[in-house]
Amino acid sequence: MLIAGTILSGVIHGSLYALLGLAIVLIFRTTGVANFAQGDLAMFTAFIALAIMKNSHLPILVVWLIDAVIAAGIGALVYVVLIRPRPEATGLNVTMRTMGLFMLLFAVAVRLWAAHEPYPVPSPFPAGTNALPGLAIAYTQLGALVVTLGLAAAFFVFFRFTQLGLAMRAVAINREVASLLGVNIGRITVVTWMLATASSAIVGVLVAPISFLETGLMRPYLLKAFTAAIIGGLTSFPGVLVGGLLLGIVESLATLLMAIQFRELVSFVVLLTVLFFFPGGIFGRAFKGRV
Amino acid sequence: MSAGFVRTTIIGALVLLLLPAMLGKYPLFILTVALVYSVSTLGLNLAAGYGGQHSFGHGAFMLAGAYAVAIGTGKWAIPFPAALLIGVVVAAVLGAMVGIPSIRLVGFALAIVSFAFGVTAHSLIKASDYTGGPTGLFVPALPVLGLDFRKPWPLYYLTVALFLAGLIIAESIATSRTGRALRSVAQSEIVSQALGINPLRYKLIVFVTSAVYGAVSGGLLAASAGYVAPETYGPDLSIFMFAAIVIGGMGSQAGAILGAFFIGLIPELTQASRETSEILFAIVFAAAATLAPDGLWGLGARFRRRASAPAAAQVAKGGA
Repeated sequence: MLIAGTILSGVIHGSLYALLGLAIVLIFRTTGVANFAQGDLAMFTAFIALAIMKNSHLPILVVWLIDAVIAAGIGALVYVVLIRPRPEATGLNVTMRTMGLFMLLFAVAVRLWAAHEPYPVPSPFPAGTNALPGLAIAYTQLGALVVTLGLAAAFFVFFRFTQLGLAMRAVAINREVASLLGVNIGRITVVTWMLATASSAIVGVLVAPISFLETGLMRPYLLKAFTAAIIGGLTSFPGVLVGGLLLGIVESLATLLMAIQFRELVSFVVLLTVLFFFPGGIFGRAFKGRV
Repeated sequence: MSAGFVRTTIIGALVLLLLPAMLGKYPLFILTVALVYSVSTLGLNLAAGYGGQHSFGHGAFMLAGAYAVAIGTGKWAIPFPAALLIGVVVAAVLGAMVGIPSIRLVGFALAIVSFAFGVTAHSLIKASDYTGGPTGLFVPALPVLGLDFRKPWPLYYLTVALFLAGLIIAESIATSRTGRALRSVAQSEIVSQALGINPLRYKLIVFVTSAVYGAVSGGLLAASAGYVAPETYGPDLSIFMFAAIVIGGMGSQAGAILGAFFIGLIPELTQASRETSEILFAIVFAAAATLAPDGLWGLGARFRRRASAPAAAQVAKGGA
């Protein structure tokens, strides 16, 4: 039972890494930008959600939806102000801009909220840690897993069966050709930023009730999400899911065997091992580029 | 090395040697830190700017240098230069250990692997009691030949000397056969292989070289601060170092130095606004990255080009 509980807890953490990683992969494959602000966007919007909860009596699930819509608006704003200017810039330069955003969000959050952290955050799921008999799993954790898997499924349906999803895949594969075929690249990129920010907002409100909400909430998650994305091959949605779950499970099992300080080392070793056998990630191609 | 580089370096060296006479104690400290950062970014620029290897874990090499100085001089009571040398060796070994499995990776995969390396090094050093855990260690007085390198003036001149040596070595690597090979590897590994260049060999050499620069810089930083703590050498430092060369302008020594001064000086300037200084710094940072995609040095180059050949710039703009 100990092993089963540990693995399940790993799956839960892994699914959260995967959902944040999904947002990172989404932006990376459409724009070639590694968004370092993805984690702190989740932290920032979680604070917004908490503010809405405190100042209204709306059901928590409704607050989540409002929060996701606000996050989408923030995503669009970020794109227009920070990402769109100077389109001749390289992906690396735009990645630096997202680091600027990361610092800005963190600095503003510290200024506004750090004085009274950590904050307890309400959850729509019942309290208690006996969600499954015999496994020490909290309802908030199990709920997070259900929501994450539901969202991942929604992602796949969206990309597989809708016109917009098809257009987004086309842009990811080849911008020029997609543009020639009549896809509005600018619109697709805005939608990508909105979707990614909204889904990381969901990660934020899922994580916040599990651990207390504080300004450094998403720091550990960002690296894990990146690692999951790399393990999966950086451009693959199934890849980042597998990567996140693998990372979560290995990490959980490792904490059974050794001290918690070695957690970072374990995920680093997992990353190096995977890359040793699959240099392009499990679901990626080891591309060399063309001459 | 071009005549222009030699001329600029000599003028710069004279300014650096004479300038402190006009500076107070605190400005001298800030200038020292900016030069220490420059040593680090010059090295990182060799790997990232010339070699195209986007290393986001440079702070870990600085950590190696800093902790080697703190542990070597504090716990083992060995002379400062020997401790610094140990740091350099450790960083070079670490650079090879991380480099060998990861230099095959392209672009962001290497960035994230090196970032994870930096986070891992930081968390291990924070967990170890021997290195002082989260609080870190103090650096004792660093007497060498009657000079204490913890004191501002000796440290400043040591930093200037190492900075100039680092600059000249970096420029000679960049303009040598190795530098040309690196630039061709960064452009296309396949073409360079066809030209008889072994990409992995050059990438590893330059990665280890950049680790050595990082260790020297870290050792100097430890001496200037008087203590080492894990938070100073965490993932933030790695990101700042990389951001410095992107903001300054990748692939040129001037850009690397400009970026290091930007990272070193802007917080001092924004500190005047007290509570909002962090916010202001982030805005300046994001604005610099957004408005100058080729870096500040590239921005200058663009203006110079425009001034000298307005017609050509017009054509280039129309063609883009």
